[in-house]
Amino acid sequence: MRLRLPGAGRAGRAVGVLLAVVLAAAALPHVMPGSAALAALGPTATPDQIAAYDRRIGAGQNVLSGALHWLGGAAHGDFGTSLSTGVPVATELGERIPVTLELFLAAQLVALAIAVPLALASAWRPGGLLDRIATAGAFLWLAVPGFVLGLVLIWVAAVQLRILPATGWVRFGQDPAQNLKDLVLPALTLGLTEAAVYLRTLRAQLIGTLDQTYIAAARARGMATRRLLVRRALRPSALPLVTLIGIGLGMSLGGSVLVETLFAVPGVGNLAAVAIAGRDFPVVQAVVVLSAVGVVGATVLVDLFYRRLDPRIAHEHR
Amino acid sequence: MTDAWTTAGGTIAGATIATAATATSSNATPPLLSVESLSTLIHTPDGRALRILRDVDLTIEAGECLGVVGESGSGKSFLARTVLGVHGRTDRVETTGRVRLDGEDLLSAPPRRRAAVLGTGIAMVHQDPMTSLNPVVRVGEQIVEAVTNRQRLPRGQRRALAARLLQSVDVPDPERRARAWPHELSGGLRQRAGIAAALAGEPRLLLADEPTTALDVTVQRTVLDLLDRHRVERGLGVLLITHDIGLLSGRARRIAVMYAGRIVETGRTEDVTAAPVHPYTAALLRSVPRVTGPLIRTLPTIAGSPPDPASNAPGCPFASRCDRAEALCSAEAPPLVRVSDSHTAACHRPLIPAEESCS
Amino acid sequence: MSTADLDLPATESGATNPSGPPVGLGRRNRRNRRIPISVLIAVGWLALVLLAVLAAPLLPGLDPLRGDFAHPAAPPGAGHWLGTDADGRDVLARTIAGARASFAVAALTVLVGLVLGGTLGLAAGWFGGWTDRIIGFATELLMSVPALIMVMIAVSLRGPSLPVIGSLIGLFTVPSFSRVVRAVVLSLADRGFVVAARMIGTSPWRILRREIVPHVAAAAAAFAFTATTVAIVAEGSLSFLGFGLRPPAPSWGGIIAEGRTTLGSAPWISLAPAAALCLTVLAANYLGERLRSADQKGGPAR
Repeated sequence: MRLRLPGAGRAGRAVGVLLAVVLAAAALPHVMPGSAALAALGPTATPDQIAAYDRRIGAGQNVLSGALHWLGGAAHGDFGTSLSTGVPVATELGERIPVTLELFLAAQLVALAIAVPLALASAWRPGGLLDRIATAGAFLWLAVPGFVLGLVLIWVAAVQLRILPATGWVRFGQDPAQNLKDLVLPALTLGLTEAAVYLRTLRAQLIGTLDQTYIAAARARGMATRRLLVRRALRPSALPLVTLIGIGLGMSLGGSVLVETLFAVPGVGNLAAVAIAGRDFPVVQAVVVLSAVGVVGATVLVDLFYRRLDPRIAHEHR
Repeated sequence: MTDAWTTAGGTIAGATIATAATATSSNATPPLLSVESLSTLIHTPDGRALRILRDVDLTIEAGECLGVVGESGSGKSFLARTVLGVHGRTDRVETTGRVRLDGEDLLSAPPRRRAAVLGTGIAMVHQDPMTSLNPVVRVGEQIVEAVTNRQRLPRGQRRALAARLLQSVDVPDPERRARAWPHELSGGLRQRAGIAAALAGEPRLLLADEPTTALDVTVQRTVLDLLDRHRVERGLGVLLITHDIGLLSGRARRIAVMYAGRIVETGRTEDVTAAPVHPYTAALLRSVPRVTGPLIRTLPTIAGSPPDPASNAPGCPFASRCDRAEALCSAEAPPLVRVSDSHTAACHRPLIPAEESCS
Repeated sequence: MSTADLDLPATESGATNPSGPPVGLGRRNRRNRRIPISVLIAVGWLALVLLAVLAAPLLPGLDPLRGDFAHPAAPPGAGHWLGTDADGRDVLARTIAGARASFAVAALTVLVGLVLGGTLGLAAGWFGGWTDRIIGFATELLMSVPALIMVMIAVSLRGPSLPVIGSLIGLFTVPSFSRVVRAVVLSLADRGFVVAARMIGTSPWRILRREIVPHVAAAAAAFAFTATTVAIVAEGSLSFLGFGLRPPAPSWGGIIAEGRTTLGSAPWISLAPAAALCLTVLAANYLGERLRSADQKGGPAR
């Protein structure tokens, strides 16, 4: 007989995934001891230099002890020091996580502001004119990758119209107005891309919800369409969208590498790109683990949120 | 559960049945509901036109229960939705005829007026209480919708109203039930909640679409009794839709038998059940299990299936399944046979000789 | 886009998703047997790009490396249909060369994803139990690491070669392939013909080969189109970040990135290959979607 604890399977798997990622991250410099050093120091490096480098990044030990060493440090908030800047990785991350989160939140606002009303309107009359336009539009839009969209936005807003800065970032604390201006293009790039996915997901779910008897029952009690859609249909249709947003949140901790690089936003993703290019292993390790923590953590958050959204789920787990 | 309704309802029911019976005979005022030659056409996405209702006529007086009986697919649920004026949001429905509520034609009324009637003039009780309550909205909030859709109520008042309504449908511990989620209630309690929601707007007409089909047999009777009680107490007109003609005796004053979108026979319940005129009605009655008689016997079923609603074939729609059919039946539309003032049927070969026949 | 760039739109393409076909595109044509015009256009575009990729080396005028020094950064016109870049190289020739690189990556990606993901999905769905659980864990693991960052790391260690990039992007499509295939297998396992085959004692391998694989192939083929677009976009993102294929054989992403600096004065250098990329992704997405909806209509009720 297998022991069955409620939620134990999920939680156990989440912990397992995290451990595996930590191991893999810790193994990074061990995969090819010396090669990392060679890559970082260049072909002219002497064996002594290589050995010294390997010692600094912890290569040469076995993978397990390396991982344990890393975990031990991480437990105390010590993720090592950046090889290129000498700044503690924790400090670096502490400065960049808020930037990435700000960008994520702004992008979600953009995506939801577009996707939710459009999904409600097109799901109400599937096959109608608006629905056909929105669905076809979303499908076309899916074919535009983030880097192309970002480029086009820069071209239009920064080069042609000259209304927004193409790149750069000023912290909110320094100059809120400038910060928001800097935020617009990257948030649009991220948000517009996600809007198409959100729209398709929510629309499909809403169509199913709106066919339910309880929607007909609410209409029979004289509920106005707008109120019906927002107050009665949206919530039972929101689960897949919540999952998407959750995954997005988890992934965003690993950084929106592309958008942050394109617009020179000093977030985690930008840090990751620079660190990888510079073979700054402690930073890379931290970003990879942070990202996995984000994904796993977001899954848990989504689970919790599910129970708030749908009381039946809470009921099943009781 | 059962003792709740007997204590609450027992005294009133007997006293007011008489008034309901007398109210029907006054013809000076228009009937509560009068449906006149109502026909509907559904345009399907693939371009076909389905005639779901064909020339339906019926009336319901205040305080009266009219039973509409027929097989699934006979259009009886669609009749309820058409009277209510709410169809599936993607259905393209073309309606002709009249639906008068207290003399006012709703079909020609502006949308705003029709919306105003929903829940307050006409209310609906749905078939399956498991699917007719929104799973993510507390029971109380849904029950008071007919009121809160029109005016804002503070939370305290909403709760009090919901509890009052639940109490009126014999739900024990109504305050707690109002705060519950739908999945926390049993099927019977949910259907009571559905009835409470229908009563919230103090409607004059209640459309009950197979309100007990999805319930346990033991709960069915209490729910029907509950409907009866409110009908009598409030002078509520009730359109009770069912596929089970046996369920209507003693509850519905009159019966309308629907087949293929038409009303093929109508009359007082005791007349129709005792001496059906239309062969279809007779077949329906034969398929009802009797309490008396041998326990094990196969109930006769009606062979064949109703005609395609897209077809426009002349003649009686039942002809192909009718054991009394002759050539005339599938060639010409059946005439209206008048057995008595209240009892009519549309048939070429009625089961009893008619007093007079008019086409 | 974020690191999610590499992550397949699993919620959109997975077999668990009820989202229907795009209503706006050619739904009315479904009924008749003729191939809808939208499908012809999509196939036509992909064929045109493939043809250009294959024929370009044979055509003297389309050398992506030869610079027309007399006309640097020339706008689109008669001599150069899509203009020239800052070094006077023909943008059309470079776009076609970029297509070659992008398609090569996509082909490798689909191969890896199809073989690995298909096998794992078959195994997970067919054997169930521990096999399913282990494979499920592995896919979950792959899906919770930042794919784009992982590929970047690998490229920084191993160099930006076609095998490294293609196979790694392919590796990250394995979870989605596996899930699609597993879902099909699970839906088939209970169906009459499989049960019947089991009961008359047909060997499991034979059932797999004769009954399961053909059904799985349809779903996997539909998903291969999605994986193609994922690979093209992912490789583009990598190139854009400087981790993609390097000159002399840059991909679309690389060419688009090159034109960034002259976006103000010569936007066509970036926008022309960008348009080609978007159209290709659109066409492949569309065909995948059509195949998927056709498969779901004709196939098992999922």
